[in-house]
Amino acid sequence: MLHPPELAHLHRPDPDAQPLVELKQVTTGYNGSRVLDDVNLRVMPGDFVGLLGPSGSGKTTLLRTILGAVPARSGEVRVDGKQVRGRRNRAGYVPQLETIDWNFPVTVEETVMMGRTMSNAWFPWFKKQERQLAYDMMERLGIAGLAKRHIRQLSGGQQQRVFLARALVSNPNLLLLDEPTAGVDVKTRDDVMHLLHDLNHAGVTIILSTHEINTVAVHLPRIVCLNGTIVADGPPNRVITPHILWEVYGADMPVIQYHGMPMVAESAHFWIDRNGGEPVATVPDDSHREPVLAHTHPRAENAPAHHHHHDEAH
Amino acid sequence: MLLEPFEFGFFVRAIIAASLVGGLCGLMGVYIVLRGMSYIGHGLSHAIFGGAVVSWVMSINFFVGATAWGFLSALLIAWTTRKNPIGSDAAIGIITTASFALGIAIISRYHSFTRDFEASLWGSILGVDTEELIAIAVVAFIVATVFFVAYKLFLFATFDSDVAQYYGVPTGWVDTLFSLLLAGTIVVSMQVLGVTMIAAAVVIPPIVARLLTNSFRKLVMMSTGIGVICSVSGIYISYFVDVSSGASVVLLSAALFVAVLSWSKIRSNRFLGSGGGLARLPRESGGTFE
Repeated sequence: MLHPPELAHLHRPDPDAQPLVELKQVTTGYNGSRVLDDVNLRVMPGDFVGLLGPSGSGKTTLLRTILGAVPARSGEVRVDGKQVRGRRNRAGYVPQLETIDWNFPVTVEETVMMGRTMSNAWFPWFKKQERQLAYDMMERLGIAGLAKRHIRQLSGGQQQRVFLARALVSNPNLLLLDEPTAGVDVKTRDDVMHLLHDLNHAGVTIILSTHEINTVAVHLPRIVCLNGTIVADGPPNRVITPHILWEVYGADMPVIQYHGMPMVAESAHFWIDRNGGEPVATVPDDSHREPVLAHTHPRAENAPAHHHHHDEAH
Repeated sequence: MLLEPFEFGFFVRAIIAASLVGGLCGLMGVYIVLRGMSYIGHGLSHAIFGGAVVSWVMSINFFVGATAWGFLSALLIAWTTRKNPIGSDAAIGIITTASFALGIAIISRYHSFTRDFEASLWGSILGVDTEELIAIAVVAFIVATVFFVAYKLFLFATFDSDVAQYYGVPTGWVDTLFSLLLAGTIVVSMQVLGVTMIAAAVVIPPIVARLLTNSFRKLVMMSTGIGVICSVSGIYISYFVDVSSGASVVLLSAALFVAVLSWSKIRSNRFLGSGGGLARLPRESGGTFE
């Protein structure tokens, strides 16, 4: 799970390569309200990007813009070199679990097979190879034994895998996930992130949205901070700073370094020392040990990834 | 004695019509209920009543005129809710009731009607003529063919229309096609079941089937079958007890629903958490959605 930011450059492909996703000065919104303004983003093949920002910052809208579901009012959206304006773009998409109708009568297998809908749309059943492909994918994600179950009769992690499998059976080279770790427990979050890293190493370009700074964003090689527009874009140790977090969330968030990785501490107000209005994270006078949390917290040493999983910004 | 009614030609026609309409409503009902459109079926049958009266006054073929009217009403409802901040229930209430009122207004204005519109209100299966039977068969064939051929598209679009769109499903066309099938279904079912009884015939079979299965494919087949069985038995019983055919079908369906619901409650109490039917397992995910 720990991917030190120093290794981030290994994910960086050839700078001359053509970007898989490219947004140039894009402005989008719905029914008169503007959600995203002047967005410039380049995602290269093999990238693993986390969109970070508070609720309403435009994370989902950005994903929908890349998918072609929200038209760009101005600017240009290109996926794989082709402009997606007004045209649906085919990419693997995993929706937020809370948007799913869990009473809908579908089994795990039926749900996964939906990912193959358009491969042979006007034919009532799936080919044998397609069923095999779906089964192999379920096997790989560890849900093959649940194929005949109803989607409600699963744990949160299993549910997430079902929708991941649905996205993957169409063999996308781009995978978009909306809050894949929202509402799941720590173990599941860890599993999902591992799985995504494996997929990324296998060559799938991934863009996910999240509002969980430590537990998700910090483990990605690249973070794009959103708040109506792109506030910052880069590796976690460049992006996760009190100044940028203030810009994104409008809240004081002390950042500490832990094993070379930035971490946002619980927002305990006495930690903050304001120097001329600029929020700066410091520890109280009586303790100048820099990684104070890491050494005083009994579980920090062996479970760093699970540390502070409560400090989502609200 | 029990086969006695089958000696009459009108009864044989009625049973064939009933099985087709029952299956049609059961099949269509799956998509209507899962799209959260139970109320639109009820509303549209009222709207189409207005269309039926208008097409009679303008001497247009009933089936063509009423289907077109119903289709346009369905599109109008969809359009009203999409472009304006009006809830779909309110839009259905306005458009379909106004249309129904138009039909009533025309009937009350021109007293001398040769056509009996009361049949459309309460349902009169024993008066089904050959032309109606053919219309029912044609619509049933078209609806069954579309849902069979475009099974995958309708499943995905019904489950999650937004995401289906991202996966390339032409949801706009699917929705339009659905409105057309819905209008056709209601027009041909109206004569048999009656405007006032259609909603139940559409809603009960998929709900009963939902209590019995978690699989979409099985739900579609079971709902169609339940629709056929309830409709045929309802008509058969109505011959002996001499009640309106629509009321008989609906009462029988409702009784079946109560029976299956009780059975599934008992079963899920006995085998707690064994899955199946309504059993709702708690999410094991510990987390809460934000």
